[in-house]
Amino acid sequence: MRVLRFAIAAIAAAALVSAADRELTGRVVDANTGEPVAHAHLSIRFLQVGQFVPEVTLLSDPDGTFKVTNLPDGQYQVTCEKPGYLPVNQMMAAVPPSSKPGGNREAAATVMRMTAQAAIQGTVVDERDMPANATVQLESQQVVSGRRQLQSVRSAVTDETGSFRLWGLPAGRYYISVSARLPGAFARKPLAYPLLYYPNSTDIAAAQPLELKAGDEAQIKIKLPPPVPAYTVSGSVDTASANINLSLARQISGHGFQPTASDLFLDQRTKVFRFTHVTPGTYQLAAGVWQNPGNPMSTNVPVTVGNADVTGIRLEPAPTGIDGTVRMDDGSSQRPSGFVSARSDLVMNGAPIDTDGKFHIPGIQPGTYFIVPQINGTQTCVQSVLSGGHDVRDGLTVAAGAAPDPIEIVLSSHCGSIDVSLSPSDATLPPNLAAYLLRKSADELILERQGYQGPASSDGTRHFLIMGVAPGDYIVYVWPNDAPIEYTNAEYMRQFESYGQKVTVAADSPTTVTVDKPLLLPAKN
Amino acid sequence: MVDGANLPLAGVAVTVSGPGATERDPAITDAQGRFAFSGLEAGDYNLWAEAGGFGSVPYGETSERGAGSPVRVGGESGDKSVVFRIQRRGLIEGVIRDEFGDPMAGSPVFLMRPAWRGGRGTLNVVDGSKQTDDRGRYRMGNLAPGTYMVCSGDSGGQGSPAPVAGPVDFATRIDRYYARTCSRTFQLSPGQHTQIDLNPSAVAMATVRGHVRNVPPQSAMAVYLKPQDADQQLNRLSISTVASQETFTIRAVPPGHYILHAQTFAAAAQKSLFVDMPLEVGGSDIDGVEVDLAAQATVNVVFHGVEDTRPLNVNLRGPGGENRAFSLANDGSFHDEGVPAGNYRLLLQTPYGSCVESVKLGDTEMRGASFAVVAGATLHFDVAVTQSCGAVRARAVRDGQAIPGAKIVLLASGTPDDPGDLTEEFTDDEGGFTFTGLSPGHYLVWAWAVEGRGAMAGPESLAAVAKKATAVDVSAGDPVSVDVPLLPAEGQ
Repeated sequence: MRVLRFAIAAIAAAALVSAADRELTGRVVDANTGEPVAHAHLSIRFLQVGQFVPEVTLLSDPDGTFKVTNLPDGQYQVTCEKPGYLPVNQMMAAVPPSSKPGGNREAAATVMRMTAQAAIQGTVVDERDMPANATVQLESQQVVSGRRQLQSVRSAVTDETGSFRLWGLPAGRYYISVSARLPGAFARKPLAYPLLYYPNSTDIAAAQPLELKAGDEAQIKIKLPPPVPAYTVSGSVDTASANINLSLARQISGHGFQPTASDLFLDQRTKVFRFTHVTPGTYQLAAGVWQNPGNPMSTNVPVTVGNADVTGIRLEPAPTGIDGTVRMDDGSSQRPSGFVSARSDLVMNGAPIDTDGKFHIPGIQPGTYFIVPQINGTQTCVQSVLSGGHDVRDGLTVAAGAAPDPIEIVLSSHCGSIDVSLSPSDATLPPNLAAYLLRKSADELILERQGYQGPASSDGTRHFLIMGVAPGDYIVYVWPNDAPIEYTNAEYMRQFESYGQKVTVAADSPTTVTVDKPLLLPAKN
Repeated sequence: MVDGANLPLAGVAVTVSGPGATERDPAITDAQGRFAFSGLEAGDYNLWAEAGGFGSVPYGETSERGAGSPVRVGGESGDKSVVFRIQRRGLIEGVIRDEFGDPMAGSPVFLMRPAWRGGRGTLNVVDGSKQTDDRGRYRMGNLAPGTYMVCSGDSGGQGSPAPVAGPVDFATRIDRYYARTCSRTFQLSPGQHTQIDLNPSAVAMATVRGHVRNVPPQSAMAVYLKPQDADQQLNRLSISTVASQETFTIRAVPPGHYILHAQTFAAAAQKSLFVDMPLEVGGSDIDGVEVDLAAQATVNVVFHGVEDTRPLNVNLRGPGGENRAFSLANDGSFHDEGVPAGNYRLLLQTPYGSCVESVKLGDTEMRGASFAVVAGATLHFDVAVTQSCGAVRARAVRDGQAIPGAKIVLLASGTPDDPGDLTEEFTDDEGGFTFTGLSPGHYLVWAWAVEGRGAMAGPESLAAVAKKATAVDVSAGDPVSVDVPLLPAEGQ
């Protein structure tokens, strides 16, 4: 009896100790030189829902190492920051303390590699070499949802000496645009600075990227061209609402829209609006109105400004959006959850499916849209996307001034599944590989489903299981889940044809397919 | 338009605002610095100058940012000629380094100026938008000359976690934070560029955790600590947290005396609940603070003799000078069931041209008096409003000269030791200010300079200058004129 009690006490003590006797150790190094980074700030957050453990912040030692002891068991998010470097985020599991106190500390430690930031230091002067009051916008090409697009990265406003600084930039190619305001003394003159693209053009075709490598500190000077004659765009909004949002965006051929530096005056009583300092060009004038929550109305009007004021525009906001329902093909009352997005060349909007199986995608302008349902769960797949009796998965055309017919998304439980095998390889493969199931739709590729890695076979073959696939013809690829691959671009994907594997999926049956090699883009530095 | 050395400034845009001057085009100064606006109707106008190199500057610029002096146009004086003097702008920049000498990137920096509010000197945050860059540098340009103080840290009060060197034992660690760290107040001369580096030191600070009882279901709630260490002006900024699920955690609390204030934000038709309790914070964490929200007192105010209720305003000034302003019912009456116990004053703003004749609590005249509210009590005030009001035209005078841009303060109720209704203004370009809508009675007026080297915004308290007050008796009818001797700038 006495022995038993001792055993219980020992187990209880062990449980207590194991609850908070773990540790995290690591080493912070410069990714380029491999040298230790001293005095890096490490913030350690415990990742466990419902449990509040304060964040611990510590510094790396002169040899770049860090150590936190007596931690509760579990996963931690470790953020490493140091001025001059890009922040690094890493998940780490707390481990039992090393049994050999004199053991090789460096070997056991997780290495956090910090990449030096790039920065741009610059000045903007006006045509008389006086400091300009300007906003400097930095953009770079990024791949988002399989599409390459110019994404706004960061912006800075010049100080009273015309200087600005953009920092914390990853290596890359950056495009710079500058919008400037006239000094106060000229504020009422019908003049404005046109949008300027680095290095010195008002034509986006002549914009040159700034190539930044890790650690670069670019010095640039931008001189504004003389202001050009500018005009007024005015009219009224047909609404009683006081909640009006007006915007005038410049349409740049092939590059979407750019906000303008024009000034807006809106009389809330008469609903008369006036944009001043608008330079010649093609614009999209948009009005959004909120009369009551959840019922936004909007309208879009193209405006071309030549060499005269544009007056008398009457904006009539109307309810806009795509309404739809989701149902099962067998008439069952099952209501799958998910998200439906509508994507055109210019906009991407989406809405969740509610518990009644309905969705409403707001803010839809005239254009052609791809309707992309993402259905949760592995037992349902999309059978059809109908509007006015036609399948519109390959494009729904929304005309001006008329709401499109409601969409009906029909789901089926008669889906197929694919076991994707990746042949064993001698090369070290990244841990974050995933399988991508693409479907051809018109001249684009659409991501139908994604499959994550399951247990590997004994011979080293990796497996990815893709569930809930609608019957049809597909192409399967394997690539790291953070790879910037423009998979929607069929022409771009042609170069990687040998990496893809065609597969046909039938209803209610599993399929297997073998992919020879993963698609790995060459690393750029 | 001239600069500090009386040299003309050309090419400056001057805008005017005031009666009948909406959307008037700006005037641009000529080579001699001249500008003109014609056809203005009589009234008070504000002028602003704008040009590259100094931003936007009001006419009669005072040490309180954004405040200028109006220009009186019309009356017997006819056309008005003013000299618009612009002081060269200054620059404050510097580097923030941590205790290891490393630059602190992305660290908030804020700029404060001495000001004078509600009867005492205080500090105003005039720019709270800046952060250090990746080199730890900050920069605040286009600054008017005057007295400043630069601080690193969050002006809202919570410190940021400070890292500790070396291996950390999670079980026995002590959280440290970078507290607000400020420079001394210093004088920025016209055109001066000054470098102020700050080295925040990390200090162990306490965490206060607790539980609030009696929270109505689904109420949002805020809990904050109001520092009571009156000798430290900075600590008058409170430390707050938004609480959820009836528990609260306030981190990074420096040691000191506090009032813990908890309140619920009531939805319509619900009562807001409040509580104030003293709390002493030492060097270690405080757990398990129990806060009871209790039934509060009710205050009713009914107005008599008011035809148009706009702009009618009721403000209960509570313990510690805190204001409780409320919107009124459509009939102009005021009803609040959520008044915490304490000492209050009823401050009333009446529609233009009217003033308060009497404030009755039962049969007792309470105009300007403070009163105690005990928990659960109901107080009913009857306020009579009259059109028979007076006015005071007060001039700030030094050596027989009226001084424009001086601070002028009128005490309408209470005493210099315990001020009630205070009105603070700046004298116009003729060195005076007209206080209108005054109930007949006895008033005290002070004026002091707000410019000059080392000038703070005013006396530390009105009690300190009680003997220097100018008394004026107001009766219904035309304005009473009074000359108020200008007190010297204080607080060097």
